[in-house]
Amino acid sequence: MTAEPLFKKVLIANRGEIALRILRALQAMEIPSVAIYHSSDRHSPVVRLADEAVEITGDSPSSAHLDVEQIISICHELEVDAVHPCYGFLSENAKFARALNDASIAFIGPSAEVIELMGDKITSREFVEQHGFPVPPSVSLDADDAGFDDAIAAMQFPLVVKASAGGGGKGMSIVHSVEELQSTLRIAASEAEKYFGDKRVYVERYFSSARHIEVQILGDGENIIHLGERECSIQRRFQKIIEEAPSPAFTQEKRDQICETAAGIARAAHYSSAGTVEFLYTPEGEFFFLEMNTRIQVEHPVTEMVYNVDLVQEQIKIAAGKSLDIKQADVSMSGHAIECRLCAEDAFNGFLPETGKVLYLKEPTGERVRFDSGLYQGQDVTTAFDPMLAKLIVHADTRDQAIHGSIKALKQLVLLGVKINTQYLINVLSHPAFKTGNIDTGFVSTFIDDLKVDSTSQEQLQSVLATAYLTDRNTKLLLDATPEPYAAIGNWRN
Amino acid sequence: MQPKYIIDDTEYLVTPIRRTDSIVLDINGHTQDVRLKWHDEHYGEITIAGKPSQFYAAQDEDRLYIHIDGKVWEVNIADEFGATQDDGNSSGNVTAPMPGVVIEVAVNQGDSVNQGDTVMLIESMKLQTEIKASVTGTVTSIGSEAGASFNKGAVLVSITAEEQS
Repeated sequence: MTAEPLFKKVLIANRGEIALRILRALQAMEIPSVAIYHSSDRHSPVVRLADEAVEITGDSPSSAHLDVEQIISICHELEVDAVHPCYGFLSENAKFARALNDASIAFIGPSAEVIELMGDKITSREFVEQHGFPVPPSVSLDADDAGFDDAIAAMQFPLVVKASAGGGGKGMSIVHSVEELQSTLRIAASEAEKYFGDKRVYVERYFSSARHIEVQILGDGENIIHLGERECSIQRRFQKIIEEAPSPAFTQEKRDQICETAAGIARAAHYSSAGTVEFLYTPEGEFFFLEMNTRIQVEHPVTEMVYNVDLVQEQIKIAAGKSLDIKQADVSMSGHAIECRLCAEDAFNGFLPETGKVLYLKEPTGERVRFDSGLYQGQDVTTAFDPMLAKLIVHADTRDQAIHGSIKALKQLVLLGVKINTQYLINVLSHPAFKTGNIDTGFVSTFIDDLKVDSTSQEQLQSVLATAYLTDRNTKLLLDATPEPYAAIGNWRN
Repeated sequence: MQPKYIIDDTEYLVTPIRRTDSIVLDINGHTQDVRLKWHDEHYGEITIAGKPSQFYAAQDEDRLYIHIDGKVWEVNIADEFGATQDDGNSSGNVTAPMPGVVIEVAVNQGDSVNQGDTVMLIESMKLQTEIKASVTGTVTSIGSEAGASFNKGAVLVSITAEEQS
């Protein structure tokens, strides 16, 4: 490590597992850190482990994390010279990037101009199309505009309605008929306005059997490389739950083609930081640009494991003005990695969110097992934040071994007190269709009945009931208070 | 006391029969010889008919969480009098299907609504859902206003059903 750290002090403008992930990178680079937290997170590990921690306030926990002025004033007060936004919250907010820039604080991400260009779904599609890269058929008129109905009529159903400023599955829905479209547009616009302060939506042809493939990009504005693709087709409610690298779909030739396209798009935008270009990949082998994510992504660890690159440390170096010292020829992938997102939800009942208190936690461990989590015993899991609590990433030589290792690690994970989707993830990983690698974004709905299976054997039921009875505090009191008659008899006889 | 345990809405009985160095239990109609050994406060080993399993257990009031064989079971403790089950929804109460936040209230107290009318827009995690009137009638009260959060099962809107004449 050099004597002079790249930044004097970095503020982590986020919470949960990703805040802790960024903190670890800062610690490895010997850069002093500041955590910000809403009072509901005051006991979380990042608050304990960061060099400094400052409470932020707001009408709701998320509004505190979206308060640009408050965050910048903390930066001034503590002489912070860079902010890492992580994902979600302010990570793709060009105004935030610009405000930091104006205050001479580095935003660890691309420039405000690139966020504006690539972070917006409508402008990025136009940009990509202008540069000769493929985009899916779509309509991006306002629903009130003349010509909207005609444009819709010319498209094939089903369609997908998306918020222009959206991301992470928010503000998206599938529409099967013209009748459904009206109310869907209303809800989509309302969601879009609430989450992104921007009610523009657009309508795109929906490919029900396509794969969701994304390519990791790393660039300093001049040197732009890709770090292969991630397969993200296993989704529920448009949100990914299992991601892997590499995708089982590709020949090396196809992989090169899609990864080079992604790098070309990033090059056209003079991209500087870590970013992701998302594509739809059809069974016919066509691919279309979907959107670009101008931030570190939830699923970045699978790429880190197969490429042995620390994406967050690279992001920080680039933000500090260093040129990217990795060339495309320097990197190659090794083995296969799978990430499972652990979410507080009832996966067997419509994925409805679950709340509760973490009464006991035991994280899975093992060689090439990574558990990215901000969880702690005693934590109240509420609906104030995203339901994703932790990520399990397993790296192995082959895809089969990675699947096997993931199932084993999921079974090792013990989290008592909050219902999470562990069994559902095991069901997906164990499914024969998943094992063949022949998956698409419809997987969760296609195999809905198979994936629902949550059986308890007679033997398991007896173990559970006996354990319940004998660990139940009421029974323990009862047993402690009752003399042991047989032991007493034994004493009498001898 | 005769504890009853509820797993996925099914009730089971566990009865102690006798106790020596192990305990004989009647588990839901099956008599078994059981031993339990703690490794620490939450982790232990239960042996049923000579077959050991590792378990993790935690209790929150009248709910037990038990992890065995890589799976978690939620076990609700009901005493011998049984927990009262609220059927709800018998009137025109519109209850929350999940915890969340109210985005928009589409009706006012005193409004007439038809069955199926949207009365509220709620959001839970990232999903917005329209809440619809369960009956035709008059809105008598609104349980939560825009911006307020609520728990699963909370009454969002009460509607008095219209008299059929």
